[in-house]
Amino acid sequence: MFPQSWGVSILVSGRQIGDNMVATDWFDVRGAVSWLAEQTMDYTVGMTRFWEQKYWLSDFTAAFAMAAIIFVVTMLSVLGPVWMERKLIARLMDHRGSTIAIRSLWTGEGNIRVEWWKNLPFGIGIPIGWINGFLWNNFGNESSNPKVTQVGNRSYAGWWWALPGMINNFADFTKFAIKEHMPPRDADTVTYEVAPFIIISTTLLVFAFIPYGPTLYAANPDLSLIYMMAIFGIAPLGVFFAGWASNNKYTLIGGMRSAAQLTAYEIPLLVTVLGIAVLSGSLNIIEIAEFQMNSSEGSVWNIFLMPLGAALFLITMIAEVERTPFDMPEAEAELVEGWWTEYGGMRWGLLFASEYLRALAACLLFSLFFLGGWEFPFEDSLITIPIIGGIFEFIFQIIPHSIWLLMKAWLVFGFFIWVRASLHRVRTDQILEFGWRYLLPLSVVQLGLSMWLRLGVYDGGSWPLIVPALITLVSIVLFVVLVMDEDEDALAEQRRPYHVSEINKASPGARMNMED
Amino acid sequence: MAEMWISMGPQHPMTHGLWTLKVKIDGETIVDTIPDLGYIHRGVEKICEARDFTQITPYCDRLCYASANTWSHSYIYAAENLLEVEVPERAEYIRLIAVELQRIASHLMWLGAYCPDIGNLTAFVYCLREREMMLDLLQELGGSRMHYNFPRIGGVKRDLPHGFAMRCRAKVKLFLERIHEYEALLDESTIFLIRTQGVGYAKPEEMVNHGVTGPNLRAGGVNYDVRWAHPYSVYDELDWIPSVERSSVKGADCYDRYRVRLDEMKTSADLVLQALDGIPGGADTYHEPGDPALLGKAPSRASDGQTGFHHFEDPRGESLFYIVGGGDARGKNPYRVSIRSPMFITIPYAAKCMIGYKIADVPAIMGSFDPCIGETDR
Amino acid sequence: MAYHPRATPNFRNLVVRPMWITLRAALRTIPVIGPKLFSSGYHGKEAKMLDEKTANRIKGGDSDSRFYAADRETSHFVKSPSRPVTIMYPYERLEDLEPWLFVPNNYNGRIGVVWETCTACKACVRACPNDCLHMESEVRVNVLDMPDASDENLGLSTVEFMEGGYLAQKKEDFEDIENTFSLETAHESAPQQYDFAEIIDLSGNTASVRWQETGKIESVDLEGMIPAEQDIVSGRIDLGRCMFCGLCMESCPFNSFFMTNEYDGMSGMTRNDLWMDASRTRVLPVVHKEAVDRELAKRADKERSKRERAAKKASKTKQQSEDKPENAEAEA
Repeated sequence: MFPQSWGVSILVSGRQIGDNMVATDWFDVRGAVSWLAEQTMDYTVGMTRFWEQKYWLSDFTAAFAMAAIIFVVTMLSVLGPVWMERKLIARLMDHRGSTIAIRSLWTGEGNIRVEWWKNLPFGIGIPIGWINGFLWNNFGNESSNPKVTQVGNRSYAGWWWALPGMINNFADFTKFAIKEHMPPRDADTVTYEVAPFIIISTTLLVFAFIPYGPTLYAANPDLSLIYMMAIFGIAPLGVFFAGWASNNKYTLIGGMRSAAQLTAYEIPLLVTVLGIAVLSGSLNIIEIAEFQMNSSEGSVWNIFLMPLGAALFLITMIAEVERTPFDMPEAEAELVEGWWTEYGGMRWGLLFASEYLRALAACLLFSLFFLGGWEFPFEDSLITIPIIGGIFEFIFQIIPHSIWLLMKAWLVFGFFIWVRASLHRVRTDQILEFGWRYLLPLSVVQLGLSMWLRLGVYDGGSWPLIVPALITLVSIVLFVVLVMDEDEDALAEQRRPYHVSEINKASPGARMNMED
Repeated sequence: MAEMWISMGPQHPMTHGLWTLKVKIDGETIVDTIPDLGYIHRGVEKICEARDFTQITPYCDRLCYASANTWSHSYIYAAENLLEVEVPERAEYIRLIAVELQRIASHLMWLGAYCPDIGNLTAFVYCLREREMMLDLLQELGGSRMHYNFPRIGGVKRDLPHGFAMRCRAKVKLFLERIHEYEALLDESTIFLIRTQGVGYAKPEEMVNHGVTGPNLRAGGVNYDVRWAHPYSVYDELDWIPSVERSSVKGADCYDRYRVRLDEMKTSADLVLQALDGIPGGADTYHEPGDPALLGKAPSRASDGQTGFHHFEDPRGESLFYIVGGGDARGKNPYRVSIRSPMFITIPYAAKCMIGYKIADVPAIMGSFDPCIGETDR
Repeated sequence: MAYHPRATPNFRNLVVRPMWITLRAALRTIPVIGPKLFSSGYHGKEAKMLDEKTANRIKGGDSDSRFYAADRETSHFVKSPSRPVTIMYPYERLEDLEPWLFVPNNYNGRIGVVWETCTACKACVRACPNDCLHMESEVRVNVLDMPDASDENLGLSTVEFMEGGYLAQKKEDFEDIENTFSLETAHESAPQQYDFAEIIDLSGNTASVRWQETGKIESVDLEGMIPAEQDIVSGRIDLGRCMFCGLCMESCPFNSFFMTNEYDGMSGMTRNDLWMDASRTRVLPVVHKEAVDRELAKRADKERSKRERAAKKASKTKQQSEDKPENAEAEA
C-alpha cells in the first residue's frame, strides 16, 4: 500500500517486499512508519540547507519509531499470558478463584466504595473512575438484571466470558511503581543496581528481533537468529550478579543454581536451534518462518519435520525461563524467591515482567520456528477451495497475520501453564543431570536428523508429503511405545512392592521380614 | 564454595510451624544440622496445673492445632485412667469417629503442605478441597472447624447430630474415591518419585532407639501402631489393619512415609464407615447431652499421688499423657500434667536424617516427617 | 497393602498421568459439557445432605429447590456448572447454603444469654478456663419479703430457705438507720439494713450459717429470718479472652447460657470493645425455644409441686382441726 522506504540500512530492513514473501496484508507497519518518517523529513529537514541529511535522518526516525512500536506491542501482548496464567491455573487447580476476584476491586456494598484510583498521580486515575462508574451502574450488584443479582453470580460482569481480571495487571504495576526501593545495607551497590538492568534490557532486546508479523519487526539483520540467541543467553550473567550482590545466603544459592541451570540448558537449546536453522536453510528468523508457509506449494510446519526438536525446544525453553518444573532457583519452599528476593518495588516488578517476557519470547519463537509463524493453518490450501475459498481469502486479508502468531504463542504458553500446574519441581542436580545426560545427546541426534533431511530429502523447493507424515507417525508410535513401557523388572525388584504375609499383634520393635 | 551455616526459619516458607533449622552446607550438600525449637512454647503443662480436669480439654486441643481432636482425646483417656471412669460404648464409637475424621484431616493437611514444598501447587488445592469436607463434618460434630473441645471425662459432649450419618457416609465415600486422584497426581508422577525416593533414609533400628513412632516408624517396616498393639476405645472390635511399609535395607525414605500416610487415610475412612454402621443404638438416634448413654459418671477430684497414664495414636506418632492427682491441696486441679509429644522426639532425629543430602532435599525430608510445632513446643 | 502398582519413575509417569488429572480438572469447568464428560463420577454429584430436622428448623423450609453435593460443588439455588466452591461472603452466607452446619447450641459461636431465666449462680464464671466471664451480683432480700410491705403482701415471694441459699436478718439498728439516714447530708450510699448469711446446713427450723460480714459459722433459728437470694447486677464476657470452648454453656444449670450461631460482629477498635455486656449478649428466648421451654417447665413444675404440698398441708391441718372438735365433741 505504501511505498517501501529507500536505502538499505542494518537498522531498518534487509529485505524488500516481494522476496519470497508469502503472507502479506494491509497491515504493513514498517511501510507506514518509514513512509511517515520520509514525509516528515522531506517537509522539515528537506526544506532547509541540511537537506542532504534527510536520508539518514528518516531512516533513523523510522527505526526508532519501530522500536517503540514493538515495545508497546510486546508489553501489550505479554498481558495475554499473565492473564491467561491466572485463569488457567485456577481451572487446573480446581479453584477458579480469579474469575470472581474482579469483585475485589470494587469493594463495598451500596454506595461505599474504595476508590483506589484516586491515589494515582497526575490524575491518570480519572478514566478508571469513569470505567468503574459505568461498570457499577450497569453490571453492579444491585441491578434489575436477575442474572446478575442471583446468588452465585455476583461478579460485575454477569458472564464468565467477559474477561474479568485484566485490570488486575495494571493495578499490580501501579503498586510496584509506588513501593520503596530498599537495597540491603551491605549489598554490593554497583552490582546490585546493575543486575536488574542487565536482565531486563537483554530480555527486551530479544524482542527487537522477533517478528510479530511479516512487517512488524524492529530489526531484521541477516543473522538475526544468532543475534537473538546470543542476547537471550546474557541473562544468566545478570542473574548471577543479582544473586551475589544481595548479601544474602539464599540469593547466593539461588544465583548459583540459576547460573548452573541456565548454562546447562543453553547448549541443548543452541544445538536444537541449529537444527532448525539447518532444516530451514537460513539463519534469519523471518526466512525460517516463511520456509514453513505456502502450504499449497509443499511447505510444511517444522513441527512435523522435527517433532523431537520441538519437544527439546520446549523443554529447554521452560528451563531457560525458569518455570516449574525447573524453577529451583526461585523455589519458594527453600529460598523464598531465590535470587530476586532482595529486590523490591519496580525492580521486582520489572524482573517479574521479564520472567513473563522471556516466556512470551520462548512461545513466540516456538510458534515462529515450528508452528508456521503467522500463517493460519492450511491458509494457502483454504484459499483454493472452490466456493468458500473466497470467504477465507477475505478473512485472511482483513485480519492482520500478527493475530495468528499471537494466538499460537498464547496457546504454547497455555501448555507451559499446564505443565506448571501438574509437575513437581526437579532438584537442581537432577535438572543438571537431565540437561547434560539426556537433552544434549538428543539434541545432537536431532541435529544429525535435520542435516540428513535437508541434504538428503529436501528437493530444493518443497517437501514431498510422505516425509512429514512419516516422521510424525513414527514419533507418535515411539511416544506411545515408550509410554506403554511398564518396566516390569523394575516393578518387581523395586523397593516398592510389598506383600505382607501376616500381621500379628506385635510389640514395639517387632518387624516384618526384610529381604534384600 | 566454603561451608556456611544457613538458618531456615523462624520466618521461612518451608517451616511447618515456628522453628529454626540451621543447616551447614558445603556447596549444596548438607553437612550438619541444628534444629531450634521453643518459639511457641506456651507453658501448657503449667497452665494445666491451675485448671479443672474439665477445663484442661480445650487447652489440649490447641497443642497440635492441625489435629485437635486427637490431642484432646489423648488427654481425656489419661484423665479417665486417673479418675477410673467407665465410658459407655456409644460414646467410644462417637469418639472413634471424631478421632478418625481428624486423622484424615490431619494427613490431608500434611499432604497439602508437603506437595508445594516439592513444587506442585495443585495438590495443595486438591487436598484442602477434601479437607473442607472433613472439616464440615467435624463442625457438625464439635461445633467449630478447628478446636472442638469435644470429649468429656466419661464420654462425649453431645451425640451425633441429626442427619450426620447420612452426610458423613456421602462425604467419606466420596473421599475414598478421590484418593485415586491423588495417587494419579503423585504416585504416577516421575518427578515426585525422583524427589522422594532415595532421600531421607531413616533406619528402623535407629528410629526405635530414638523413640520415633507413628507413620514415620511404620514406614520403616516396624509394625507398631498403638491402636493395634495396645488397643483402646473400640479399635479391637473393628476390622482393620495398620499401614506398614516394607522398606529397603537402607531404611525408610520419604516416599515410604508418604505411602503410609496415604494408606492410613484410607484406613481411617474405612473405620469411620464401620463405626457408623456398628454404633450401638444406631447412628440416627439422638440422645440429649448428658444422657448416660453418652456420658458416664466421673468424679471431679483425684486423690494425692494418684496417677493416670494413656498412650494414644496421634497422626504423628504416639502421644502420651501422664497426670498426677493432687488431692485436697489442689482441689479439682491436677498436680502435674506431663505431655509426651511425638514430634519433639522425632524432629532431632529427622534433622539428623538430612545429613548427606542436598539443600533442595530439606523441605522434602523435613516435610515427610510431618512436623507440627504446636505439639513440639507445647 | 500400601504400595502403588505403578509407581516407578519412567517415561510414562513423566507426563501422562499428572497432566491428565489437571487437564481434566480444567476441562470440567467448560459450561455445559464439562461436568458431564470429565467428572469421573466423583465430582459435584448430587447427594442428600439435608435432613428433616434441619429442614424444619430453617425459616421458609423449601428444601426441595436446592441441590446439594457432598463436596459443595453444587450447593446453591440454581445449578450452575461454573459455580465455584467459594461462598460469596457477605452476599451469601454459609448458614443459608448449608444450614446443618449451624445448629443452635451445636455451633461454638458467640455467647448469648437469656437473661430472663438467669439466676446469677455464677456456675459459668467458675467453669470458664480463661477467666473471661465477669459477673457482679449481690445478695438481696426480695421485695415481697421486706418488712415494709403491708402484711397481706408479705411472704409471697418465691424465695425460700435452701441449702446453698441465703438468709437475712434485720440489723439491730435497723430502725435507727431508717430514721436517721439522710441522703442529702450523708454524701454516700445508703447502708445495708440486713446482715446476710450463707446457709450451709438446713434441718427443720434451725440452720447452720456463715455470716458474710464476720465469716463466723453458727447455728441460728429460722424464726425472724428472712430468705434472701443472689441477684445479678451486671455481667459481661471478655471476648478477647474467650476461646469458644463451650464449657460455660454446659455448666449452666438453668438453661440460660448458649453459644449462638453468630461468628460475625465481634470486632472492635479497642480491647474494651470486645467486652460484651448484657445488652450485646442478649438472646431472644424464641431462638432457643426448646431449652427455654425446658427450663420454664422445670421451674413451673417445682412451683406447682410446692403449691400442691402447701395445699395438702393446709387441707391436712384443716382436717385435723376439724377432727379435733369432732373428737372433742365425740369425747364430750
